[in-house]
Amino acid sequence: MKYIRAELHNHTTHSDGQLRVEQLLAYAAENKFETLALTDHNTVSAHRPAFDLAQKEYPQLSLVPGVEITTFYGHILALGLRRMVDLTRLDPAAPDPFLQTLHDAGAVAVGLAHPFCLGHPISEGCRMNLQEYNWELINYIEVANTSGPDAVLGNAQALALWESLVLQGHRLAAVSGKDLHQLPTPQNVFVTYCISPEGAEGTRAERVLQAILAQQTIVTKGPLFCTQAEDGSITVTFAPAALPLPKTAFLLVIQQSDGESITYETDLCTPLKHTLAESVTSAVIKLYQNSCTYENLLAVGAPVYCEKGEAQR
Amino acid sequence: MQAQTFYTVKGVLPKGFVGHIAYSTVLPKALTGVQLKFVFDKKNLMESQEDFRDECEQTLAAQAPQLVPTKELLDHFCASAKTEINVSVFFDDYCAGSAHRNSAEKEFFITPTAASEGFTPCQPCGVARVVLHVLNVLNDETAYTLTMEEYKQ
Repeated sequence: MKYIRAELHNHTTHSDGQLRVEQLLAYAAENKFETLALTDHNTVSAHRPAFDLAQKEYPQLSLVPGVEITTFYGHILALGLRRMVDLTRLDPAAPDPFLQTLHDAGAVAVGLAHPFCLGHPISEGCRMNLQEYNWELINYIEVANTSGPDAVLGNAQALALWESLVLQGHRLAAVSGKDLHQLPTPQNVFVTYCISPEGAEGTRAERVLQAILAQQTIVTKGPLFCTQAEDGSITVTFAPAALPLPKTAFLLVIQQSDGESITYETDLCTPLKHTLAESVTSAVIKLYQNSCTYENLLAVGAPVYCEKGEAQR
Repeated sequence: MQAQTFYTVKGVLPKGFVGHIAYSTVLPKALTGVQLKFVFDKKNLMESQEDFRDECEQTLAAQAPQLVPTKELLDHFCASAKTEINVSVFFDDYCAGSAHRNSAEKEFFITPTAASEGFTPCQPCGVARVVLHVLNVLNDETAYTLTMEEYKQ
């Protein structure tokens, strides 16, 4: 498997970012972003200059065109979207037609940005406040927005929502986002890697989008692993560690859709096999260090969905 | 030759208004481009902060009870609070872009070959719809002015 780093939430001076396009691309290249999504608020105007510059100066960077649709009722990330839609058409009481409009306009993957960010009057319009909608029109949830404190951005709640929906059978990827408006301060934050089979076809940007649509993403502070469900069991396979591992306990927790939660100690090297009960239709896999608290969360792996059993949508 | 002014419109918004305000006009043919200027006043919190602080405390209690509403934190929220009005432009159904930035004055142009950041170069034509996305109004009697004119280099 190939792990492709994907930074999926970024801004430039084409909206309220402080970095010009050339500064953002230079930073992304220097920090080995591999894939960079352009998600300015309500505009696609940075796309052309960014693509032109990347082609000339940064061939190592793959760009994903997109927009952060910034509404009064929350922010929606539309990856793959190359033209802005009319956001005045959004009815928060019945958002499905608007969400469909995003897909019809070319969005490949539609996600909810920082859905539990603090709301009025602290951050106007940032907290998701849409009424019931069809989860099939949403492809991913930003479970870790690393632009500020977790409590302000509601990251724990976003993760809990994603987990709850996956365990109900909804097909949703988990991603992180820097929500990059200025140069970030160096710190150990969650990063998204898209898991793609070796030799898969398509550009890197296309493979990233396909991975999101297949829920093949891992949100991590370092360790990388992939998860596969086959013949009634889950196999977790770890990628070789880039740095020596600290001498600490690593705990892999498998939360099943039948309500059972199983914890394994792992050395982050030996593949782990877990047998699923017949009734299980989906499972979430998370990795912790020392203890299973949010503060010690190291990685959220790709969820697994089982062929047998009735997946709920 | 002086640039043709298509319109100057003014408005006054009450505290708490949230919504879109659109101005639609038919553009003359063969334009070199359009230039727009949008300004509003009272961007920062000018009225009593007590009510605002109380609301922040309520929001914290409901949405992030683990965050202690210290004076420093509430001071930070007060200092960060802003009236926010962003501007999008459409020509017929085509969205030419948006001026979405933290500024009480937004000035930009759109021509077939160049445009301000936030906007894509295109030929202004047909029905020009300028939409004010009023996300937050902190103060009563917040006044704005929007001017659209022909772009002249």
